Amino acid sequence: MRKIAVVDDNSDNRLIIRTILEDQYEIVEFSSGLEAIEGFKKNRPDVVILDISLPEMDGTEILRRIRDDSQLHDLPVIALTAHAMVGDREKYLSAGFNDYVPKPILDMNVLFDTIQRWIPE
Amino acid sequence: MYMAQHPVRVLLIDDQESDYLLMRSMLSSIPNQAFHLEWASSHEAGLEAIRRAAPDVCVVDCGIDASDGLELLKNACEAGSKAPVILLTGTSDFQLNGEAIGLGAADFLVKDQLTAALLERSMRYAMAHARTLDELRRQQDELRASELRFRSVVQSASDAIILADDSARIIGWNRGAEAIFGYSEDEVLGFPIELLMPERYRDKHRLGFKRFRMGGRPHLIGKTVQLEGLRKDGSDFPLELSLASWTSGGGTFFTGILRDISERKRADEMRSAWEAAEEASRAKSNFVANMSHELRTPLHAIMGFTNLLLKNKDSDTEARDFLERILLNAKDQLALINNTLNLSKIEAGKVDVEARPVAIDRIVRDVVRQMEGQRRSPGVEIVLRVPPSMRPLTTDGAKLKQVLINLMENALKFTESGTVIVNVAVSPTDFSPVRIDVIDTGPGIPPQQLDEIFEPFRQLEKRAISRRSGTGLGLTISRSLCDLLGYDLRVQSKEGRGSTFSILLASETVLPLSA
Repeated sequence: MRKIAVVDDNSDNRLIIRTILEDQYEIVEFSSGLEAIEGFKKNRPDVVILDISLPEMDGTEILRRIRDDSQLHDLPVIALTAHAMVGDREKYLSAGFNDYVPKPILDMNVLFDTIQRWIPE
Repeated sequence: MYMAQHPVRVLLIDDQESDYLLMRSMLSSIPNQAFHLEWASSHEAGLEAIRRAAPDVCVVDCGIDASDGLELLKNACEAGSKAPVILLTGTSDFQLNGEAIGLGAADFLVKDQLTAALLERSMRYAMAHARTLDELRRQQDELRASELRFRSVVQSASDAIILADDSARIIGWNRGAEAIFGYSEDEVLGFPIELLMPERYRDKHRLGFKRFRMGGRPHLIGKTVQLEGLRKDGSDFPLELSLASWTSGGGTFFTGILRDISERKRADEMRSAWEAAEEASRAKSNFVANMSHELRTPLHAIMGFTNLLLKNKDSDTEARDFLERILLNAKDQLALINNTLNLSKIEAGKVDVEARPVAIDRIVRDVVRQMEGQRRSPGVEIVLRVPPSMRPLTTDGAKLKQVLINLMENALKFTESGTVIVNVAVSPTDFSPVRIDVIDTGPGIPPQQLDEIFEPFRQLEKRAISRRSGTGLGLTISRSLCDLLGYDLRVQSKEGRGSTFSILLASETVLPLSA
């Protein structure tokens, strides 16, 4: 089973993603950036679903550290965020996220399709 | 001996030839100095000779009537002669002597007692005295010229230059001061400097001045400070003051250079107001962005869990119905959040336009395809009227598409039967797109409400709309987006017949609306 890492400080959000995905993927949850990066190094996921507004280290900073890390730099990272105003999609894709899914998720298939695009062959 | 190189030119004005001869022999007996003696035997000839020959010294015989000599002296001075004049007289008359000296005579010699040595000495002193006088006069002229120059600088300065004495009374006032304060020089000279200060400064000024007179160091001297001044008309104004003090003849004086800085202050105020507005605008968009995030986050949980429950095939019919209603309401709320916040962002000018050449026909086809699924009833037909070819338009395609989607959603929402036509008009000359029309056969809009429909939350005809009523912001956003892109968004409508919304892409649109 492919492994998906979910980084979100809100346990409701983690539960939703886990419930949606757990039939098809192995889910690992992290509630903070530092914990997540440590975890990725020990056990590399196939795709990361990363929230943006996190306490201490926000998603953009976590992404930067992933991209700067020799082991992790090519990890597919999907922004899953409630920052969803006009221009936000462009902003996060430019920041180096592989993909972007706004909260709330209107159609679960959007999430499946997006993950599918970035799961390595 | 003085001036040994040049002969001293002496003019003798005397009507007695014997005097001339005597004088000549005396002068020739003086050693080490050559003299050139010219003789004029009348006053007229003497004056003429003074003017013509510019002698170094004049010796004038007063004759029997001493007043003749004085008269000549006066005339010679008036004629501008700088040559010293020595008067010769028959008697030693002290009164006449004094009068003559008063008129400018250099010396007064009694003919009988005249010796060569006396004459020589008298002439020498007279000439030295004349040189001194001349030098003094030159210095005075220079001083006067310098003062004139200085005065003209002071007077023409646009800053106020005000002089005060050690009783703080105004003793100097230039035109700049007149322009700034409104008082003429006559109105202020001799008045206390307090006249120019608003009431609230006067006590402080008096104290400071008192301290200064008691030997304290005046803290304003040598500094530039910002204060306020009081004009003649009673208004105050901000000014910048540089104060200097100087002493002259035992007295202390003050020079103040004052500049009216109202304009500068106003500019400063405007700049801070602008900065405050910028700051407020930044704070507002931060607030909006945070608000958007905070409103969406719980909705994500509501919709996520609702979707998950709906996936559960075990739910009974009523539960499923309720869950679907929760989901629909959540979607409505999400649309409301999106539209409200995006409108706020557009109107705050925080949305960038990214223009590149765009195929308008492709955008229109995409939107129509997307909208096919949103028809309220199969009875509504969507008709696409696009010319066979058109030039690309340089625009922000995503935003134009958003406008078109909003217009199409409205048209389909209000049309129960009939057609919704999307028409693209191109310029007959260069085939560039000039207008996009969305034409419906809905209920139409009453003429008096045509202006209101672009206002936020002014949705009309609530009764005729299905429960998916939208946010009431679609047209407001559409118009804002059109403004941003530089397009005009217009509406024409006939009640009972339908409405036509047109995006005017080019100002040279001359084609009539085709329905």
